[in-house]
Amino acid sequence: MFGWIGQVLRVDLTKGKISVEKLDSGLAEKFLGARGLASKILYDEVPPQTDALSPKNKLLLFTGALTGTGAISASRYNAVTKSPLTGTIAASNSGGYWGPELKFAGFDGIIVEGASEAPVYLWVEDGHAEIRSAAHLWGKSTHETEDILRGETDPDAKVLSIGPAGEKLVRIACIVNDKNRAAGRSGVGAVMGSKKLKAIVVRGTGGIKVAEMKAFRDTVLDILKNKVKPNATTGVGLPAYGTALLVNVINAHGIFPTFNFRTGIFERANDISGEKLAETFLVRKKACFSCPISCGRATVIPSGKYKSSGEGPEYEAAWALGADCGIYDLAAVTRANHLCNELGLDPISLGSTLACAIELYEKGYLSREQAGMELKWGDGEMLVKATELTARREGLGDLLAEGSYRMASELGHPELSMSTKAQEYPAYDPRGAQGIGLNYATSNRGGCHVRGYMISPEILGSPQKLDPLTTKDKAAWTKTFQDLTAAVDSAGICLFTTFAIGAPELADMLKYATGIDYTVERVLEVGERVWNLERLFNLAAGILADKDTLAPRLLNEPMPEGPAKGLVVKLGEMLPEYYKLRGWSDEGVPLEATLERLGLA
Amino acid sequence: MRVQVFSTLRGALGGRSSVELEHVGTWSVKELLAELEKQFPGFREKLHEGVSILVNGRNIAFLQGLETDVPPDAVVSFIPPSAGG
Ligand code: SF4
Repeated sequence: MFGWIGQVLRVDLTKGKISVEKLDSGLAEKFLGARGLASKILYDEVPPQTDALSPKNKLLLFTGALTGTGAISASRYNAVTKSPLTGTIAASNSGGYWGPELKFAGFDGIIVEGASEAPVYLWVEDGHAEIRSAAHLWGKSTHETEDILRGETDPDAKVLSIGPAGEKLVRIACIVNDKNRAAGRSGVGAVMGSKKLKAIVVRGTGGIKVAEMKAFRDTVLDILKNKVKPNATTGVGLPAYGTALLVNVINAHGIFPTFNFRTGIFERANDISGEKLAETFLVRKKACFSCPISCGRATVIPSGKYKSSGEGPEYEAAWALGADCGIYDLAAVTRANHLCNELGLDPISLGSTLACAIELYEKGYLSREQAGMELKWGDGEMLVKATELTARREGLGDLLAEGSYRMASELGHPELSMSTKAQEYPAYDPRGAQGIGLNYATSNRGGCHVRGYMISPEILGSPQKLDPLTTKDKAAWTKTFQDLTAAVDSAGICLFTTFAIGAPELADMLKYATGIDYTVERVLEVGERVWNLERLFNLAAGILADKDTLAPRLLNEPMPEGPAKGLVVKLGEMLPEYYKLRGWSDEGVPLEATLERLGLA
Repeated sequence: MRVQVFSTLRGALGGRSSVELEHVGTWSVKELLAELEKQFPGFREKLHEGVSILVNGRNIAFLQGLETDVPPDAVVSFIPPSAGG
């Protein structure tokens, strides 16, 4: 095969058995890889009602057709499984170097099934794999684990692991690779922990065959020179300031969620901004495999009680650990973000869950005794402590470890959880950007911005400006963004490329890499197919149209200030149109004709 | 009135991220730009293509463009087209 390697590793941890399987080329063509292909395999092999933390759930780590090929930002793998946070299908995406290395080692993906009795890790090297004891690694941070495992295997090996949070089945635990890159959302780290799989270490020295080398290389160089480099976002903004540049921008638009989404303007936003980070803790930028954008930020807090080094915070983390909790102490936010990488926690869900806890505490629904500590807005020390406690499920951390929806429900006030399908929203208040609200409500993995980044047209004006305060045309745009994103994720390239490129460039790279005649229409159809397949999984898991909604605050409490003052999300104006455009029934179920058209019937 | 600029545009206000301007009555965005050019020569030149102008958080593209009113207590933001997250 070209683009793909053509082999998949299957690891049964219950039996301690490893087998190598041929990749089904027909499925690869239809689903591309990564998010799409792994979702198809999960759908076929795991009944959607399965308990996410039982040995019957599977964890798939899959690369895409372009991963590792030298296409633009082709660094990605996806962790696909049933989510212990949302109960939906989970597909969390990460860059770095681990994904490409897996292909160099001779595999497109790994299917992990069953569960081990004792902690283990998997060592994959050039076509071979073995299961080894990880007894000595249990309890260790992701950074310690990586260092030890490189020492035990190969100094050039790439490591993916869970921290204490995944081991403790924290529902907002992530999988971390290359120390600071994470498959962050939906609790995929807890699934890995439930299988007692501490890490997967990969070393590969092979290559990837591309169908038409010259045309492929020319296409990539052309995209780099004429699209990515001249683009203001991918050529200037992201390389210079990273994602945290958005802090001031989103705050200026009045949609920077503050105090658990009670308002959209944070007075002290500049203190946690990308500009401030550049003046203080930033030491250099970092890039993933074959990425000219280099949005990663290596950061060091040189002294004081938060002294540490690592990466980030990214925009989302700066918001969740900062503004949403009313915190403007950048050192505390940066330290908490470093801890999230080391302990294996999703900073978006962690920050939002802590913000929810502070509001519950303030309103008297969570007592001092239950919390075990005082909770208040703006307390950086509380944030750092809560991060450590959550990863270890100690004290207040045991509550936070369940995510905001379960925590708030347990305390009798689920309405204070800022989530959809039990996954916390990211850093944009949809009352002032209606389209992102529709995307949150319909995202197949719950509250999420990277399923359909409507902020791009609504706030950033790319590829064209849409008025953020109105609902007009938002259903069609949301569908297109969701489908394109699903294709991008399945191909194995970074979503950030889409500030500069679209379906035509993706189709060209895929065509020359695989030798299959991908066109714009086919690429978007792959995305739509993946979207519908994910929807089928969720419906079969019992997550129906009534869950395509938003937290009551966003639907009923008008924004108190700023440009969106007085507005709520007018979801009812967008959702029926969205279902219709998707070819779904009024109940949000894909119609037979839609499934047939997409080859899913 | 407060005028704020972000990241790559900081040079436009001589390295500052915001300035306060005193004036009575309502200006248009066009008049404000002329005033800024007077106080910070070269300001307009630095507003390369694609810069968004917000008046009280609203992009003037959805208001009256350069004719949009700028009341004396407004916050006006100039945002470079270089953001993503
Ligand atoms: S844009 Fe950033 S996240 Fe994406 S591949 Fe490049 S460095 Fe990694």
